[in-house]
Amino acid sequence: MSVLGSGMDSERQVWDLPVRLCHWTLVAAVAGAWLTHALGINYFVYHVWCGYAVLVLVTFRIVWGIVGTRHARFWNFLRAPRPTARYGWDLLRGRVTHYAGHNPLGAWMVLLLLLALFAQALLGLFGNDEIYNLGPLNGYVSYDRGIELTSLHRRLFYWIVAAITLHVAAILYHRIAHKEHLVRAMITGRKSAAVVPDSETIPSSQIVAAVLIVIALAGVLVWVVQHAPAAQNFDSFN
Amino acid sequence: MPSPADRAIEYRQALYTLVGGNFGPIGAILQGNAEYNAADVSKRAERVAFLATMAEDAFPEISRDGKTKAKPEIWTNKEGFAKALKAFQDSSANLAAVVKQDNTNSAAFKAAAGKVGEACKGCHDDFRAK
Repeated sequence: MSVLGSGMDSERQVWDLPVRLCHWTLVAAVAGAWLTHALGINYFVYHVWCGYAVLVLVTFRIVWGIVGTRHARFWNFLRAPRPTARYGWDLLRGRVTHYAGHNPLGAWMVLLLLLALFAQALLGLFGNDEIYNLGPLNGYVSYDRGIELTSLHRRLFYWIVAAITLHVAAILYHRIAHKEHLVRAMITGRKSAAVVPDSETIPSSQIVAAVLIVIALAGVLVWVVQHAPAAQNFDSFN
Repeated sequence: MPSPADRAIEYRQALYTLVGGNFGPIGAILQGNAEYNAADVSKRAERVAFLATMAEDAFPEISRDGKTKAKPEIWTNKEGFAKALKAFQDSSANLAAVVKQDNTNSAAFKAAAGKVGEACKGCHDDFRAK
């Protein structure tokens, strides 16, 4: 039995397995990062692990957006501002165009969320909570710069919450107003054949390539973290 | 001549620089970034506990306005602030006592040091501008 096949005849594969796994593990990693922050400063080590996961997943998704399967690729779903605006305008007037992959507005949200989460995870690496927790790369920056980057990390969180809220609200809207099962599609990878022409279905998930990319990215991260200079001690003038 | 307000703020910031400088190495042990050094830990723990007793005098009304991250709530929510300060004093006194009892990298040490960290964070969250 193939990974992709055996679905109902009326559905066709659009999201490859790496995209789906990446999406849902990213949800878990972001939720975990929030939770380990909310639990308090003594859970920081787990917060860092969640941050590593976000970083690897997001960079994977960006690479996958270049080399992945058809609907995973940025240039197959990002549309120019004008068609995007037209799509939004039509939506406001109750007319929805169905897409095999992302719709134009959703596509920009994908890019926005990926970039915001990438920035957020990156900023966290340089953090300093001014009590006793230091991000793994804090040693690369001065004390004051570490504080500044932590402040950005703190503020960017609220923008990310806003973006995620909008993302989820849009999916609910498509579910209620247009009967589109986008969550299910992100789980099964399949959409109704009515919106996916045969020419737009994907033949394979390219799983081996995805695994190799994730391993390579994780390796780079491990190397960078292990080679980071020690952070300045709080009383390094001693 | 620095104004009395400036001097009061400088006094407070000097105090918290000392708190950070002495608690930092304990945090490094908690994070697994430093080895447990018994002599150093007992010195640091005692200093932090002592500095905590000074903190209650570091927030005179006059130090409210100036180049400071101290939030006005310190002076408007006196009860809440007193509670936050007491959490710092109690947890750091407890840490010093735990270390005096058993000066090793024990679970009790980690828990006691973690409580001090939580007290720091609790007060920073409510009474210190980001």
